Amino acid sequence: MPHPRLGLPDLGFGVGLRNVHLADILAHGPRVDWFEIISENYIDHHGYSHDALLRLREHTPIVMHGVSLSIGSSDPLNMAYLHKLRALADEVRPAWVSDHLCWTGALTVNSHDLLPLPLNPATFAHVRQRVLAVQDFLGRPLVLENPSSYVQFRHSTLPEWAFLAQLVEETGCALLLDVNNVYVSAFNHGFDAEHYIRQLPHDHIAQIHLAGPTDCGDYLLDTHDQPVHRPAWALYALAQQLCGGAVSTLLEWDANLPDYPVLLAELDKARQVLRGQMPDCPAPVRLPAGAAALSTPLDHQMSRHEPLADPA
Amino acid sequence: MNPSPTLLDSQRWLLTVMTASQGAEAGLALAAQAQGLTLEDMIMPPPRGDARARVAVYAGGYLARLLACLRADFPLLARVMGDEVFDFFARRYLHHCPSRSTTLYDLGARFADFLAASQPPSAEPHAELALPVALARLERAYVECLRAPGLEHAALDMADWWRGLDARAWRLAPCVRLLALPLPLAPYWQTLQQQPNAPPPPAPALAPCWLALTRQHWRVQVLALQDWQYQFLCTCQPDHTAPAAALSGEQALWPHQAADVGLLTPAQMG
Repeated sequence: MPHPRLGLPDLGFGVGLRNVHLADILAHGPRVDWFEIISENYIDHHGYSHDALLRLREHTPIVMHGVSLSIGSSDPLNMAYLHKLRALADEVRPAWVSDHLCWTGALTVNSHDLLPLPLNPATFAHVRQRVLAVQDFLGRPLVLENPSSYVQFRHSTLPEWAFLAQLVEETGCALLLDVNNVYVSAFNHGFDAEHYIRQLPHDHIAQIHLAGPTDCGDYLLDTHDQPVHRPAWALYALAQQLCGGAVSTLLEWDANLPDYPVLLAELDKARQVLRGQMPDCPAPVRLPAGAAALSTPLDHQMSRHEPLADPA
Repeated sequence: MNPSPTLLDSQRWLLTVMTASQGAEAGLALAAQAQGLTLEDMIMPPPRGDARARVAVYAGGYLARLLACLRADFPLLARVMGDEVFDFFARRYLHHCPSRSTTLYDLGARFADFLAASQPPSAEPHAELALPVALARLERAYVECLRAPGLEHAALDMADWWRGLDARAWRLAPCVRLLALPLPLAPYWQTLQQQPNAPPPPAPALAPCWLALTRQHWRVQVLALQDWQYQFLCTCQPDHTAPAAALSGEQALWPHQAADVGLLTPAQMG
């Protein structure tokens, strides 16, 4: 009988590690069970935030979350990137390594966005062999996240949940279930978010992501810039219930970053949900007419300009 | 009816649509012309709104994301050029030099060269033209210095500090970046940093300038150099093959002062 979640541990409740919070964390301690880092922020980085990460990881579990694997790209796997990813994993010793079911570039151009795939048998065969190759190279199961999306290709023939379930079955990878992304994509494409979550292989869900999107009227945008919406909390409760209530939870907040205590208070709502209470949620922020919002925010990828914590 | 597009077809189509320099509408026309694939061929109508607005999410996000990255990498340059002019050149740069890296850190690596190439080659040297290129080189060097391997954890043997007076005894610290610029930028840079809300000062008059950026205790410093100091530091670069510079008199003591501010580290001899 295989272990649930491939034997990957329940790390508890964590947040994305962002440089703007480093001073608070180093002065007062993490006050979370674990951190998730953006892998690309630390590849080829030998500065202060890398040094702080190595200090933090001595006492706090770390998970590496990537945005550039481009597992669905028609380009060959980027072996130079994979070598650097593996070297970082050797150094950081993360609990696991994750990325997204998406492509970020093709024809050698990188969009730095998490782009949707046509979900059909041909794409599945392509992604399947690449997941197997990446897992062989990294020597560990890959944890793949469902992305948010704004379009569906006409030649998609598989629902995303079915694509992911089959991928798990045929490659042994694990899943990072982003309930906010399910909420966003379900709204944008008109599918049933609860049904999506019920159909996933729950024993392979290693981690759950939470985040707050922006209401753009006709669609939701995955902006990670505000509190989690009430429907996403309901999906979180459902997912934890289906998974036995012991899946590592991570709050993402990547634009309009609040002070660290505000982030902790938002994360605490996840504990509240697991106790069976629905938290108070502010009204979702509706994007004003004429204003612009950015999907796949990149503040977390540009943290080099954040002020340094005093290293003394 | 067209046969089902391949994965490569689909990715080429969406990239064409979202990266077109004239926006998603132009991208759709371009993709239809190049691949014979229309929006209707490729994208399901959404339950609310229209598919055109949905692909525009990706197109708008692509440009906004990368422009934001360049503005973050070159904040002082954007201030000096003004947002409108900066964005004009940044958009053209993104069109001509799209990212081919897995990291946004690399995005601005060629921006200074792009700005230089955008100027007429036969133009008379002019401070107003030299300033943006020089500032772009300085801001790029700053970002590189922040991320490069430094000496913070180096265990220096004090006995190594008196190895001799020639450049072969020293190595440039790996985080150091050296710049030879056509106008004196160190005081200009400091003024911009110290007066973030003031209008940028006029460009300094043209005059050769040599700078070193170094990092100590995780903090980057911009140091003005004299010509001979710059030349000496160049000879201390690991890939430097020309004969080492010879220092004499009072200059002979300077490498030790340079080591004190994180520019040099004793070479591994023997």
